[in-house]
Amino acid sequence: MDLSNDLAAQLNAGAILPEGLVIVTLMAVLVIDLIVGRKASSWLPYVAIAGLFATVAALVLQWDNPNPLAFFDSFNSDDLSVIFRGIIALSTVITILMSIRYIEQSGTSLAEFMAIMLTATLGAMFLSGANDLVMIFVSLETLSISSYLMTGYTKRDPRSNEAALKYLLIGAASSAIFLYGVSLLYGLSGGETNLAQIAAQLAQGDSDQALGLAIALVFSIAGIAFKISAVPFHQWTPDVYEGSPTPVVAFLSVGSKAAGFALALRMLLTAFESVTVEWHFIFTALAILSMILGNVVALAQTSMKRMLAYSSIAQAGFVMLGMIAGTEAGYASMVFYLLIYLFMNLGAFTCVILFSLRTGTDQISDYAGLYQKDALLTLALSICLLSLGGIPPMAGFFGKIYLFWAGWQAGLYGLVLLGLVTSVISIYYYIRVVKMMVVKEPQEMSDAVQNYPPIRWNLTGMRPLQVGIVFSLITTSLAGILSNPLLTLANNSITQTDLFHVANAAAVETVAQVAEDADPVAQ
Amino acid sequence: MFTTQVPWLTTLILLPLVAAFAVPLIPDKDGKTLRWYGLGVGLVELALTVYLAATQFDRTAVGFQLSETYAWLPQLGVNWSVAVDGISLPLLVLTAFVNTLALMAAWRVSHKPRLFYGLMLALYGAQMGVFVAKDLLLFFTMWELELVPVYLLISIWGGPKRLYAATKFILYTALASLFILVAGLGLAFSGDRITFDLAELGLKEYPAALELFAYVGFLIAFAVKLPMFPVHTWLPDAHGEASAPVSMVLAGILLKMGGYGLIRMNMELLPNAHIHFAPVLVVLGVVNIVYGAFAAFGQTNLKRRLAYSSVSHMGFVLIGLASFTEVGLNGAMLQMLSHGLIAAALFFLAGAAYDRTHTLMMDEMSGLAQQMPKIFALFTVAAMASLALPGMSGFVSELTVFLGMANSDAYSLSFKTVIVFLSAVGLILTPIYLLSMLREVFYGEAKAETTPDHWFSDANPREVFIAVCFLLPIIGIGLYPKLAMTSYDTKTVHIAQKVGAALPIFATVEPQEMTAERDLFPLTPALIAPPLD
Amino acid sequence: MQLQLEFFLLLAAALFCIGIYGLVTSRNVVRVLMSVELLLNAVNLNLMSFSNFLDPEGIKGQVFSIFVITVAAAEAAVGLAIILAIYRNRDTVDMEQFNLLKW
Repeated sequence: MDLSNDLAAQLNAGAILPEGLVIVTLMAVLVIDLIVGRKASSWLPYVAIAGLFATVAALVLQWDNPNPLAFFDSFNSDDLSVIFRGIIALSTVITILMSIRYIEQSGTSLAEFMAIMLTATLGAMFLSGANDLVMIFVSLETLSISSYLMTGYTKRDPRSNEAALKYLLIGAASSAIFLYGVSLLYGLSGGETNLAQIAAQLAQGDSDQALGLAIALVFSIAGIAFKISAVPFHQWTPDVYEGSPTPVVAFLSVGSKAAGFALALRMLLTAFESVTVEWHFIFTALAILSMILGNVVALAQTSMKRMLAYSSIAQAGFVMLGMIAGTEAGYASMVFYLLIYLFMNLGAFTCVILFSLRTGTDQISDYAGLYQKDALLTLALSICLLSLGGIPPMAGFFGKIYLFWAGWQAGLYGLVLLGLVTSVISIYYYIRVVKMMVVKEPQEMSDAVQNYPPIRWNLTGMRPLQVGIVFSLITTSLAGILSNPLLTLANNSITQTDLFHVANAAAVETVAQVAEDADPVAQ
Repeated sequence: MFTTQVPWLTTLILLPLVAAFAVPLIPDKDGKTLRWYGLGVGLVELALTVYLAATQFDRTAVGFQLSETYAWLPQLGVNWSVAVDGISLPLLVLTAFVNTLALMAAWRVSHKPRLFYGLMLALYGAQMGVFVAKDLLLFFTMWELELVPVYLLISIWGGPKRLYAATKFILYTALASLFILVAGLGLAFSGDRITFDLAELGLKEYPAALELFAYVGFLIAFAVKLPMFPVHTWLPDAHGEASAPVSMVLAGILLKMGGYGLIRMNMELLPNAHIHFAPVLVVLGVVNIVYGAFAAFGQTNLKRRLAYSSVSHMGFVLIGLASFTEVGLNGAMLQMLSHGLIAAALFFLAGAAYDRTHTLMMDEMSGLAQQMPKIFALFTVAAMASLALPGMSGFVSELTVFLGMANSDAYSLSFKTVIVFLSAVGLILTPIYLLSMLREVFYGEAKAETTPDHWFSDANPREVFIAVCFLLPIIGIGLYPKLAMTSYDTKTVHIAQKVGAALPIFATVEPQEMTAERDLFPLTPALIAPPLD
Repeated sequence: MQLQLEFFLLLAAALFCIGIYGLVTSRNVVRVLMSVELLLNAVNLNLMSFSNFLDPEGIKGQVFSIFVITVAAAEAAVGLAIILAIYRNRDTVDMEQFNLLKW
């Protein structure tokens, strides 16, 4: 009796209640689809959305969990993971809203799509809290493999096939490289898989491990950088974004990326605490390259989805700035930016989906003169793009300001200046689209817009799309001006997380131990 | 500083912005409701501003008044903090005045009117925001916020080369405004206390290097807006292509934002760096005056000529700011106000002429005086004001700037002589190009292809009303400058003293120390001399 | 001579390098997939040897490698499925032919 109580206490299974809810939803979706069949497809998405909202509610209850460690320390449900899991769950909600019509129109099964999407969500959520190398690997692969499947979901479309293949090959290779780094880490720490214990072991380690540790660090970062699509590990991004179904891209650009950042924070801050200078250096290089290449190459794109791909690379560069700052404000600004990025990027993708559903194209030049035909879409897309470009008073401006503020405070003057310059460059390509939609005369309208179908919201799956657009429009325009609650949330998630003190505590412990060892000698 | 009074200034910012967002909801069946709506909002705003200036504002106080502070992003130390003082209040009134008249001038917009009025109102609110912001980040937000409507207004309702002009405008101003952010962040983080509040920033002590760096940053941003030679090239393009209401706002208000920024940031926050850069400002001001005048001379496009005349006139503001005397500073303020009125009037009338002739080329539009005598008369009065005819506001302000410069004890006599002489050359060129413009456009034989078939209609009562609204204060200030001066006199004296207080330290240091200082800041020309006795 | 940890690590590193080489040079998609499997096997070898030499009680490495094998199987299954789909559409598994997406 005692033993089982003890075991239950150690398992602390309540910490993964949100993930449990996702699993239940996933099963429900699969089983209902199996029993009821296609008739259920009209209300099945709402089951998934309800499940995800329950997940978010469970996450809210998890906030400030006094006992966050679960499953023998392999899962950490601290505030940092809660907020990242929240971002991921919300991104899935919006993605499902926008995918209903899209999947319907592509003639594939919605239930299966949602099942895979929920699996990916599950993997991403576990990844945000994973505190153990095995856990990290398994959840990372859950996310990755379901992402490959989603990418190739429209299997009759050769572009989708090709995107899936490229994503799979590059993804598998990068996770193998990541894994090799992880295996070295396991060896270097003398057989530990828990991140905190690895850190403690590494801190004691001698200097001849330096080469091994450097390889482990570089390989691990390669895997992480692939997930957050940082240059030069970004090659898959434009191809996959262009080829795969757009809702999948939306999820990859927000949910998957957020999970990648959560992994980066947890792994680099705990396990690689002893080589902070080195990983800061590597990330500085990644951030510089991402900001420059992402923004510059985006200028030349003609496809909207490709442009958004490069824009997401560049945005990752901005977010990395908060990580390099290495202060609490820096991490908080990362979380805050990701929260805002969730709304504005998903909003932009929702608009792109709506446009491609109505016209069947995603070329930027085909947006010409859209204002005359569809004012709501134009407004929403303009606001989201301007927000991505960081134009006040949209939400993105405040996100960037906070990032730059934190960076400047941490003394990263050069990076902040580069960020400022590149975000001015980015304004150009975002505004180009806005200009295309708004400024063009009626006679300069593209053929796609000239044949624009009458706006009908009563088709299956259109209503959720409309809800998604209006929701992200409102949040993107107001979340900046009224950003105080979000900012407080982001700050609390950082200040109330032990993660940023664990490494220090371990170091203190080591020092204490050394002192203890030394004491008898003195006596 | 928190008061429980009516949040006047917040209302001033939010009223046009909210009205702009409400534009899509206004029913506009006959196409007339919308313009009345726009004008109504403008008039309410103007009335509020005037009421505020007349009853709530204390002219004798130096510091910020009517402050309102609400926590906005406390984590960043950013507050929604607005206030007015002697510098911002006159410009605030000018903004409300010019914008309201611009809304009235935009009576005939038929192309996408909904978007047009929405953007104009948004622009209105953003400008008010720039002038009342007491928080650096709020200032920057408003500064950026005003760019987007202007960009769209030029690029949708502009002339044939509008896209080029609009892109040039956004590139110049957006890039330059970054420097505000960088310099502002630098100032905010200096010292042990992070603050974005302008009043608190003014009390901080900054390291010399940071002060110079921030000064340069602000100067670049505001110089583009002012516009100062050599970053003025966006202005003629933007003016040449923008429609009349947008030109009015552009020349009337946006250029003044540059001058306002120079006073508010560069002089108030960084008086020590101002000493080093003042000679540069003077030289650039003279270049502005002379170059602007010569360039205006070479233009064949009516609006481009007026744009270059703006460049020329804004040079006086620079000289006034750098004169280190309260008279000079007063003159600079007055020049901003007077140029805001005159340029807006000229651009409005140029737009009115364009509405009829559909060309801006002066060689294609001769002999208009016979057909439109009212426009001719009004145009002539406005041009006279612009060339500083005594009795008009332009004369008073430019004379005051000269007086301030001549009485300045910060510069050597020879330097002042050269400066005054060169500016006088510019002053002589102004009548030449303005009068030749009048001659080309209004006098002479009417062009054959325009006369026989259709007779251009003269100004209608609305247009006459708008022009007269501009001309009345121009003449009023010209005859009785105290009208405008009382509102900012106390404040300018205070700033001039603050800047001047930094001066003697520099002027009376030992010679060897001075060279040391100069080696440190090689940008400073050796123009500083002991005071004249 | 007793087998040392280094031997296993060097073997794993060699395997890893071969895998990378195959990844970079192969034109056949199936071969690329096989190279990825090689990489994962190198990792498994690493984990096993570390587990035996450094962590003989916990044997976390052995557990880890079980997971790696499982996940590798899943990955291979998904990979082959995708290859099959693309082969049906395009009638080829040559990497050079997949050039629809380009910047």
